[in-house]
Amino acid sequence: MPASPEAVRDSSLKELQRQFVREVLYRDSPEVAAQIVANGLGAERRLAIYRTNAQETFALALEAAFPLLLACVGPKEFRSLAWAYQRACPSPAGNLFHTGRRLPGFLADHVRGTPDDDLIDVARLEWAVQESLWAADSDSALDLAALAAVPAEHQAELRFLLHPSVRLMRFEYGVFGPWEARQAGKPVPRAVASPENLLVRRLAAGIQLQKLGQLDLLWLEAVQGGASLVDSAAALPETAQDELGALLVRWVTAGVVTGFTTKGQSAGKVLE
Amino acid sequence: MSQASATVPVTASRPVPAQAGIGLRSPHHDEFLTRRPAVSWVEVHSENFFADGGRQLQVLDAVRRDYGVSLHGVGLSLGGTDPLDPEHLRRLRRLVQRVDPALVSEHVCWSSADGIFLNDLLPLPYTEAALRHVAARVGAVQEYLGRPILVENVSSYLEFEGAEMTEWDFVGQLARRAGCGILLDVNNIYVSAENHAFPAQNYLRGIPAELVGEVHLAGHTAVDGILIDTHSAPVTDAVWALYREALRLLGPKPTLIEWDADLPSLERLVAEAATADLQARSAWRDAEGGVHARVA
Repeated sequence: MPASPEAVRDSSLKELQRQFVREVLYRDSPEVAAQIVANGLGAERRLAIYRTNAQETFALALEAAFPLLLACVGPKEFRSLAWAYQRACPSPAGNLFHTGRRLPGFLADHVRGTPDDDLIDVARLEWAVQESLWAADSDSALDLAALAAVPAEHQAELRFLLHPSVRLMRFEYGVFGPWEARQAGKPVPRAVASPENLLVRRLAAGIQLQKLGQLDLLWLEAVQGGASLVDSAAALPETAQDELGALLVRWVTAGVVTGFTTKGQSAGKVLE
Repeated sequence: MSQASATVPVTASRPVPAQAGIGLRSPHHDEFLTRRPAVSWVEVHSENFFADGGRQLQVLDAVRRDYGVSLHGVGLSLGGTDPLDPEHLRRLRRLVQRVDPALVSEHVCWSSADGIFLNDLLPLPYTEAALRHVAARVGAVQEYLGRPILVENVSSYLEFEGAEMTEWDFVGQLARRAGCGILLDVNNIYVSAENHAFPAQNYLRGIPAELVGEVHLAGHTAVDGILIDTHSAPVTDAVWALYREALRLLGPKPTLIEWDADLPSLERLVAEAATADLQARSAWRDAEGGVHARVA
């Protein structure tokens, strides 16, 4: 990583940039206007152009990342939300991907317990989708021959790997229906309070959402958390221990489990 | 992801010739790969390919096999006083290593202060201190990437008091000091010239032609007496005229049609690039005619 050339930092440049950003976002640094050439148009109007640009860029990035939220609240309310969010949680990076990261938390702080409570889960779902889209590809499907060759004494220590794009989500609201409606181009209903577990992942054709039963969720969460085969079984209820084999087959077949490690092995390949 | 895991391109990158290319945006990805339009090169926004995996990168891998590729960044904040973002740089280097593009470019601007990004191309004060600062950062970026970059002039809606040089002097000096090239955006010159009432021709004549590695063209929008660089419209007649004038001074250069908002059909975008090639040939004929007339 290059050493940032701190030595050449110019304090007046730094102060100018700080004032500029604060005046654009918060209107609390009017002194920056004195450093702007008027030239036929006042400094405030010139700054307003940059304020509009900053708002527009940020809002468009959010609209692209949270289309279901946009459909739920409508364009006018969404723009109002975007500006409030931008001022509270401004963009932290030059890459616009990151603008939406704190939106679920922002909504949790502001609409929890209100009639808009469902929007928190909608935003959580859509951020999980963004993370899934951004995630790494998987090198390959699970190597079944290598798995079959794992010695019996090492099988308890097997740790399965999920595809990097997999996100396991627990929701208080049923967001699957609104998601499906929007995907189909139908009117989007608001999510109703009804707990729902979803698996979000990226396929070649795009994002796939899949409802999860309680056993699937518990086992997949344990696996994603790095549990060994024995420990992932322990995450299941006593009465469901017989389900372990079926769970493994189901999620390997579905392409959700894409690798494994065990002592001396990684992703199905023996480490030398 | 570690540096070692960056994908090394398996084929050499294709060059970017002195012809017109298009900005390739995601709504056109599928159609572009299906139709394989007759443009010789494309430019993409680097940040749109910073993901660890997924469809976007697969598209770019496919495109680079048949077309020259230019990576154009919009978020590095070369003129900012916050430290250069190591994560941003790491992802940019990983992408450069994967794509092996013909060109890599960024902007002569800043975007953040105290860690707050406006995600806009904000103008600098054209002072010696700012010039030293930006040149050092461009040098650091080039060293990290292991290759030279081009830096683009931005359009602006304000100027700062205390300027010690013109914008074109600033850009030219920056390129000389940092050892980088220039991406000359002719539309940006036109927009800024109109907004700040300076002759655009002075800008063209003040830029060191030998350092210009690429030209940008785009549309703009007039709002309440100010021109805004919206990239949402065709290139205007006035900008075409300035482009011809630029090429008469610069000679043949790779030229990009940028269109980001109100995106037209791919066909329309390719047609705009074809127009740029026609305009370029007209400019070169004029330039040759001028030389012949002077010789005679």
